[in-house]
Amino acid sequence: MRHSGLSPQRFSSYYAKLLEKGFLEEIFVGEDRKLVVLTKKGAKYLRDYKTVLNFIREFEL
Amino acid sequence: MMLNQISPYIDFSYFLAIFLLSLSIYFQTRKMQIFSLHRGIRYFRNAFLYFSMVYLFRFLVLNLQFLIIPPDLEPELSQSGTFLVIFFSFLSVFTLLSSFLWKRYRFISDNRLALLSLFIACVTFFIRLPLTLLILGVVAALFLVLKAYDSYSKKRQVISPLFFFYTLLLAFVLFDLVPITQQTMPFEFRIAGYIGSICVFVYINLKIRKVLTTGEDEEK
Repeated sequence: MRHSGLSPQRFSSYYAKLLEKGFLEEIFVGEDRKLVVLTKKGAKYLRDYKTVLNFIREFEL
Repeated sequence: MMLNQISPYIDFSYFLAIFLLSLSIYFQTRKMQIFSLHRGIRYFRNAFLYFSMVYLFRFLVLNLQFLIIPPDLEPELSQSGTFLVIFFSFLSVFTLLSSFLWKRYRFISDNRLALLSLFIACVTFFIRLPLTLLILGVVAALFLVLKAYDSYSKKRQVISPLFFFYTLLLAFVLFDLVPITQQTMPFEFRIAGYIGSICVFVYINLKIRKVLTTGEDEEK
């Protein structure tokens, strides 16, 4: 949250949306630990996003 | 004599090649447009769709005699085809320019580009003023040279896609679209122009393929 530069409210809202859309997944380890991982769908989205950014840069769009 | 015989076949092959290469650019960028809804990408791919229309209609006008149509309809169809060639030529050039100007000039929109192209196409077609094409081509080329200079002064980048767009636009407007250059140009120069235009399109296709392949490789 610190690195995102977002307010706590906004961060929570975006985080919930990412979970809802299946880009992130919460994995519970034990009783008090929680891991947040990128799903396959999330990884694909990031790759597609990078491809689009490369394309925009290459063609100065 | 020999040249006169093979000339229509060369024109036929050239128009077909550019038509297919333009369509290939349009379809290759489809996924990216759906994914990003980026305006620059939309203008870029639409420009190549319009380029393909230009060459489709040029191809049809050129081969009208081979199509099964009543002979009395041929002049009207030829005129309509020529008008569509002029209209799509302007629209493709303006749309390609818009692909990198849309951020700076907010007034750019699809409707305005279409209306402006329609207006200039009407002026060119009905007043029989092919010189407007030449003047517009020179203005577009000058504008692109200034843009390229601006890009160079900021990024210190000599080889940029902008130069290839510049070559592409010059190749189209000054070589393909102005009838005077087509009629007076020696056959060898026309062939050189055809090869140059095809090379530009192949280059853009390969460049797009490279960007897409990098993404696909990462996915694997």
